Amino acid sequence: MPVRVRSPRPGFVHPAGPADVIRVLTFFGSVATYGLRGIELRQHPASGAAPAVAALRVPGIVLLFEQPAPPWVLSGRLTDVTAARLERAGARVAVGPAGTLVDWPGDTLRDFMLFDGLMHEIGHHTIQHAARKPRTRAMRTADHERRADAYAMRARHAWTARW
Amino acid sequence: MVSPRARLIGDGVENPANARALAEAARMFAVPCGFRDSRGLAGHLPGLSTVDTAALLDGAGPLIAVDNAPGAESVYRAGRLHSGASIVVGNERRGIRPDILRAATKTVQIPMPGRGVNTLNVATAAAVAMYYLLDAHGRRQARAPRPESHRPTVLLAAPRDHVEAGSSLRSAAAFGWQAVTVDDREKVWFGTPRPVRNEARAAARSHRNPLRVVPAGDAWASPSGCRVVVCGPDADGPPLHRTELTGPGTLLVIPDGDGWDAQPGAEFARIEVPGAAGRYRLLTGIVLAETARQLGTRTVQGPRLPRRGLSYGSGLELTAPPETDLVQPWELTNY
Repeated sequence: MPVRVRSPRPGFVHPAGPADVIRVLTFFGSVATYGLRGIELRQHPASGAAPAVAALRVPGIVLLFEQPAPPWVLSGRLTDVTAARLERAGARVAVGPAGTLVDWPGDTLRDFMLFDGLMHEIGHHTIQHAARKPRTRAMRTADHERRADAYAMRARHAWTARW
Repeated sequence: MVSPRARLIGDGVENPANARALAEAARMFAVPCGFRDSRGLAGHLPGLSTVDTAALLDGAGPLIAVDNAPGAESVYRAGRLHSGASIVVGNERRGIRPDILRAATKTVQIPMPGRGVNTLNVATAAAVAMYYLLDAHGRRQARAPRPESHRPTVLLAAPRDHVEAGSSLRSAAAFGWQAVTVDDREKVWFGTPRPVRNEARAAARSHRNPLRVVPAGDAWASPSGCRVVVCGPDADGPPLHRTELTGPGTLLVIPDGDGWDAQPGAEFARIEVPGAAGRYRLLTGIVLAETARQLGTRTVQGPRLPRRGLSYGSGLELTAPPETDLVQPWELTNY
């Protein structure tokens, strides 16, 4: 599986490097990688003000975006759903008067990128690939997201239980 | 009398019939005509006026190339020519040679919205170009939105020559008409002998011309409530480019000669040229070009962006940011 890396901007990092990505993909094997064309570690997209984590370009290209070096100081408040998602991934979320502080102890940010980013998008990919729909959505967006979340959660459990 | 305001040059024209038609187009606008002969044209046409390439390229006046080369300006928007200009049209298949295109002061093209056929006969193209470059001042405003709903019906009335009729049908297709009615009382298009038929169909480029040719029939009459505009060089009316030629329910009649009697109530538009009235294909070319100009081109909302494929993304959703500016630690470090 080709993994292309574009250097992050100053102050940003790729929390999960190519070796981490390859390790996870090797663990899950062809069940996850079948039909994938490549993984790209990219800089943050120019469009879109909200911090982007990952994206899937159908068919089969997963983009993982650079992230600010932790701790994150976000100018605003996270929605409840997003805050719960980050805390589920191991982040410490503190809401201040002027913004939100998100701290990532240990390898939690790397795992967040690998599972809530990479495996979540691979979840989208497997749905589209199974439906053989390279140009149209295989199901409603809400259902798509829910299934991709479930896929990522199962992958995380399988990964943590591997020892 | 020959006007010094311009001259017409045929660059590499190889068909003698086209050369004769080109010379006639020049007479129509009272300008001299010369040929840059590289195809042995002089052998077929004794007394052909040829021009020297060096004199043409180094001439004092502006050189105007009529060619649908990339970046060419629409002939409808090209300004009035200075005196002494050379208007150059090219070979029937290859167009103008590169040395002329490089040396040209301006390259103009005749917009042709037609499908299948998108070129004119070389003499017709020259006549249309000269009509807009030398005459046709004070034109009507073109109507831009929904031109197809205002496209008039065209009746080619009593054409007397099969090649002229075929070439006129080619022009109609090139200017975007999908059907043309022909009053074939001279028997030049329908039911003709095979050699005549072949020549006429070749002039019309029938093998790739999607135009539907409808016979007018002996008992044909314009539909009731139809606005009829008769266009001709001797018509008693305002100049063609100042006459409304478009609109729903409009019928344009282009008669060949005087053998067609207009019905009462018809309007007239004069094809105003300074010289002798040219052959039928030149007149129909000018009328159809002016009508296409008045129709305008469909307005486009802007260049269509390439379609981006399906994608999914995940990010951090934030509520409205506070009214303060936050500075990232790395920004402070860099500062």
